[in-house]
Amino acid sequence: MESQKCCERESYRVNPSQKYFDPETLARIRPLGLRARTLVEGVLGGLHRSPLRGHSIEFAQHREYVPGDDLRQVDWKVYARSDRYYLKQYEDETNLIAYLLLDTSESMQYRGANSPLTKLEYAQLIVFSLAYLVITQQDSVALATFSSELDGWLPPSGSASYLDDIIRMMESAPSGQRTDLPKIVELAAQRCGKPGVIVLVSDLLDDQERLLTALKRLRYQRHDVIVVHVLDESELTFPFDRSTRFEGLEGLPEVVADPLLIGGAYRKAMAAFCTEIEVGCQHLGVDYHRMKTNESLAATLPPLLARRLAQRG
Amino acid sequence: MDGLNLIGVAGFASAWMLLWATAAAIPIVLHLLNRRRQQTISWAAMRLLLQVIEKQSKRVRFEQLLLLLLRTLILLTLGIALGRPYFTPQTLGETLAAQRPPRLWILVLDNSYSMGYRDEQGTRFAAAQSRALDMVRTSVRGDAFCLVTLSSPAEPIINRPTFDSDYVTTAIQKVNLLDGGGDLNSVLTQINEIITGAGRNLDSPTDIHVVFLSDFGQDTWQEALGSGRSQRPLKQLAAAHTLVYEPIFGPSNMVLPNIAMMAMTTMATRALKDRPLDVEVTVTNFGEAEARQVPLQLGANGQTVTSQFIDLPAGATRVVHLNLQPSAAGLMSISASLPDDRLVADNQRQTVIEVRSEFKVLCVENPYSDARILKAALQPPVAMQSAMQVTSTTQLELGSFELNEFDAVVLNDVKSFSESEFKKLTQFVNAGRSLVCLLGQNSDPSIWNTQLVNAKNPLGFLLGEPSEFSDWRIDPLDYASPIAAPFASHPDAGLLTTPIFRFWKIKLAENTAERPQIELQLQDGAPLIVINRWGKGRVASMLSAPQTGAMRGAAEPWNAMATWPSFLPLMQQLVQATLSDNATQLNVRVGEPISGTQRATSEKTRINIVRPDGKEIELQASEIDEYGLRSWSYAASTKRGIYQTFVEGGVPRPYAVNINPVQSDLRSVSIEQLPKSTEKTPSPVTASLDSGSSNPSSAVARWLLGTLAIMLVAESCLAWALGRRLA
Repeated sequence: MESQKCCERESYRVNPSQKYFDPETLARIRPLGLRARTLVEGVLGGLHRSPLRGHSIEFAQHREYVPGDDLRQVDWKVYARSDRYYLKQYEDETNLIAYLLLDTSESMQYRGANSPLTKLEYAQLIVFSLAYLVITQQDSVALATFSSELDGWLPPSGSASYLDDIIRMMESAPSGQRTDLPKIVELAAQRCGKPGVIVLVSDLLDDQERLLTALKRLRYQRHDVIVVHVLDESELTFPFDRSTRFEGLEGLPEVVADPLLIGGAYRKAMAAFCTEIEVGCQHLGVDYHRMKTNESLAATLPPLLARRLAQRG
Repeated sequence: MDGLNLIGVAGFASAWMLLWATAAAIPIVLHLLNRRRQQTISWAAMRLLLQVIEKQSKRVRFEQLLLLLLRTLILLTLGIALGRPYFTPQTLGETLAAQRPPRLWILVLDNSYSMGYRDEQGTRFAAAQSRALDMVRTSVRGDAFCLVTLSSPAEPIINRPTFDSDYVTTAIQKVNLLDGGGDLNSVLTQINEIITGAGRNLDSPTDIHVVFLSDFGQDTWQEALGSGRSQRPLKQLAAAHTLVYEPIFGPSNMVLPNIAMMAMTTMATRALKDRPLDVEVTVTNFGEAEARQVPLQLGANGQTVTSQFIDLPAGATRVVHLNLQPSAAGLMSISASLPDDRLVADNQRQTVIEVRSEFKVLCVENPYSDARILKAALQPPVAMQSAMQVTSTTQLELGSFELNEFDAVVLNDVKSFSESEFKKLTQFVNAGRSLVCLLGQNSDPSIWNTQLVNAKNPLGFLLGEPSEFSDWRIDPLDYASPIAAPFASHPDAGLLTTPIFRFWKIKLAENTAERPQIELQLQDGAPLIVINRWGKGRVASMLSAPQTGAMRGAAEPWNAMATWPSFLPLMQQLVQATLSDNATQLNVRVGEPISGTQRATSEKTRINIVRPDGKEIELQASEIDEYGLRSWSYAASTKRGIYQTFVEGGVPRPYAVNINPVQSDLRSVSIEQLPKSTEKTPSPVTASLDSGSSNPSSAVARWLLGTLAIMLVAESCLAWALGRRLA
C-alpha cells in the first residue's frame, strides 16, 4: 500500500496535469455523481433538484390551502374526494453552481511520514475531482484559493475547458500564508451571490468558533455547505516517540516536547477539536467530512457522495 | 558513600555491592539521552499543540520527575540494600565517629575503693561511670557491649554481648562503688571468657575493644608490669584485640594527699571485763604535706571512748596506742576513725572482740605427772588477777565434763585417750575452742599416733621418738610468735634459758591442708611448740610437758621448766595464743565471707544480716554437720563496716569488715608501660553479619528491601496510571 501510494505520488510529479485524473478515483466517483443536499435555484435543469417549487413534471407533495394561495394550484380531485382544499406542489430541477474553496495556507503543506501527499495536494485532488464531476454533469463550478486572503478566484462556468483553468489556478496559488478561515468565508459569502453548493476544503486549523459563525452566515444565505476537513494521519495519531522540536507553521513559535508525555492529551484535544467542528456543522446543517491524506480518494469520495444522496432521499 | 554517611549510614557490610547503586544513574542517563536524541518536525496543528503543552506540561513534568525519582530511588535502594548498611547515627559528630564496622565493647569498670577518691568534680568512680555512659551514648548501632567490674573478684555484670544500649546504660548506673580492691587477673579471666562466648555468638561483632576505666592504681596494675602474673595474659589480650586505657586520674606520677588508717589491732582479741585493753592503730600519711593535729577517735559499740591528736609528717607512718576498758562482757565492736578526707574508705576501721569476765580452762592431768604445777601457772593467786578459771581433772573423769562450758582444754602429759575421747575433743576444737597438748615422757606415741593416723589429725604431726638427753636451748624465732612476743622486752624472764633436756621429735603430717605453725623451736631447729588450726579452733602442742625436774623413779626428768621464771608467762601465753584465734572469724576483710555456726539443738535455722548500708539479708543455715553444728556463710561482704547478724530471737552478733588498705597509696602506674594493642585492620564483619536474625545490619537491609518492594509497587501503579492518562 505504501509503495503504491509512493508510485502514485511519483506519477503525479511526472505529469502534474494528469495527476487529478486518477482513473481509479474518477471511475469510482462517476456513477454516484455529486448532488447538492438541498435544492438550489439554477438556470439549468438536470440532475439537481431546485428548492423552488413550480410547474414541473415531477410531483413533490400536497399542502393545505391557506388564503392567498394561487387557486390554480388547487388539486380539485382531492377536493372532490375529501371536500378539502389542497395545493399540488412540484419539484423543479435547476442548474447547480458549486463554489469550491481551497485552503492553500502554509499548514496545508504538512505531510506526515506515512502520507504520500501533503494536505494541499490531497485537497487539490478533491477539489479537481469535484469540479470534474460538476462540469461533466452540466453544472457550473467556481474556484477560490485562499490563505489569509482570497488569493485566486475563478467565476462559475460549466465549460469542460474550464478544468484546465482550475488546474492552472491551483498550481499557481501562493502558499506559506497564515490561514484566516472566518475572513475567507466572509469574502466567499460576498462573492457567491446566487445560492449554490459551497465546498470548503481545508485543514480548518483556525478558531473554530469564528469558523462556525462564518459558516452560519453561508447557511443564512441559503448555500448548501460542504466542509471537507483534510488532515494528515500524523496530526490525528501523533505517532512520535522521542523528544521532538516542533516548528510552528504559519508563524507560530517552535516548541520542544516529549510526545510520549503529551501524546495522549494531544490526541484527546485533536479529537475534541474535530468533534466540536463536526457537531457545529451538524447544528448548522453543514455537511462535514473528514479525510486523511493517507486514505485513497477512491475510498473517501464515494462515501461522501453516497451520503449526500441518502440525505437527499 | 560520604553522602550516605551524612544521612545516617555509618558503613556497609558488603561495600563492593554498592556498585549496584550506580545503576541508579540509568534512568537519569536514559532521560538525558532521550532529550538529546531530538528530532525536528514542522508542525501544522501548532496552535492545538501549544494549548496542550500549556495545559499538560507542568503536571506531566511533575509526574514524570516523580516517576524518574522513584525509579532512581529503587535502584539506589537496591544497591544500598545489597551493600548491607548498618547504623544510623543521630548527629554529624556521631556520623563522623561512625566510619567503622560494628564493635564489641567490653567495658571494665573499676569499682575498687580507690575509685572513691573525690576531687572538685566528684569521685573517680562517678567520672568512670560517666565516661562509660558517654561511650555507650556515642556508640553506633550495631555495637555490642559487655560490662565487667574491676573488683576482687571481678564481677561480670553483662557477660553476653548485648546491643541494647538502654540495658547497658542501666547496668552501668547500677554498678556500685565497693570497698574492696581490684583483681586484674580475675578481670582478665572474665574478659577471656566473654570473648570466648562472643566467638560462639554469630551476631556478635568481631572487632573487640576492651576498655579499662580505672585509676590504674599501683596495687592492682602492678601485676601488669614486669613479671607480674597479669602481664602475660594482658599482652595476649592486647595482641588479639584492641585495648583502650581510659585513665580516671591526673598525671600518673602525681602524689595525692591521703591519710589512711592502715591497721587496728588489739593486743588480745578476747578482752577481759574491767581490764584495760590496748588498741594499736597504724596511720599513714601518703601525701606530700605534713598533717598536723589530726584527730584520731576510738569508739566502742558506736560510742566515742577516747581520742588523740596526732601529727603525721609527709609519707610517714605512725603507730598510736589507745586504751579502753570494756565494762560489760560480750562481743564488742571497736572502731577507730580519722576525719573524712578525699578518700573516705580508709579513714575508719573496726574490730570485734569478745569481752569475757574470765576464761574457763579444763586441765586434764596425768596423776603420775607434776599435776598441780599447771593449774598454779594458769590460775595463780588472786592477787595476780588471772583471767583464767582453771578446773583440774583426770583423764578418767574427762567424760563426765561438758566440754562446751570451757574455752580451752589442756592435756597435760596424758598417756593416751580413747576413740570416744578423741572424737569429743576434735568436736570441741572444731567448734572454735582451744586444745593444748603438753606431751611429756608419759605420752605413749604408739597410741597417740594410732589415733592421729586413723582419724583426721588435729595436731598436724605424728610423734617420733624422744630426743637424746641434753641441755636444749629455746630459739625464740625473733619473738614473732605471740607466745614469745612478751619475752622480747623481758630477757630476765629466762625464756632462752628454760631448762629442757628431752623432747618429742615429730614428723609433720603430710595430709593436712595447712602445715602447723612452729611457734618456738630448739636450737637444733626441732619444734618445741606447734600450733595447728583445726576446724574453727586451734590445737597447740608443746613437745616437752612441763616438769619440776624432780626425779620420779628411774626416769630422768625431761625438763625443769616449772622451776624457771619463764614457766608461768609461757603457759599463760600458750593458752592465750590458742584462745586468741577464736575471734578472728569475727574480723574479716572486704570480700571475705562472714560465717558462723550454731548448735544443732537449735531449731532456728534462719539468720538475718544487717549490712552497714542498712540492707537486710536473710540466710538459711546448713544441715547439721558431723560435729553437730549448723553453719552459715555470707560471701557478699562488699562494704566495710559492722555487719550485725541475728539468729531468730537471739542476741545480735557483730562482724567487722575492713578494707585491705593497699589501695590507699593512690599512686598510679603509667599507662605507657602497659601492653599496647597494635593497630588492627577492622575485622570483616561479613562473617558475623551473614547470619543472625537480630543483627542490626541485616535488620537495616531487610528494612531497605521492604522499602524497595513498596517503591516497586508504587512505581508500577504510578507508571500504569500515567500510561493510561498519556494513552
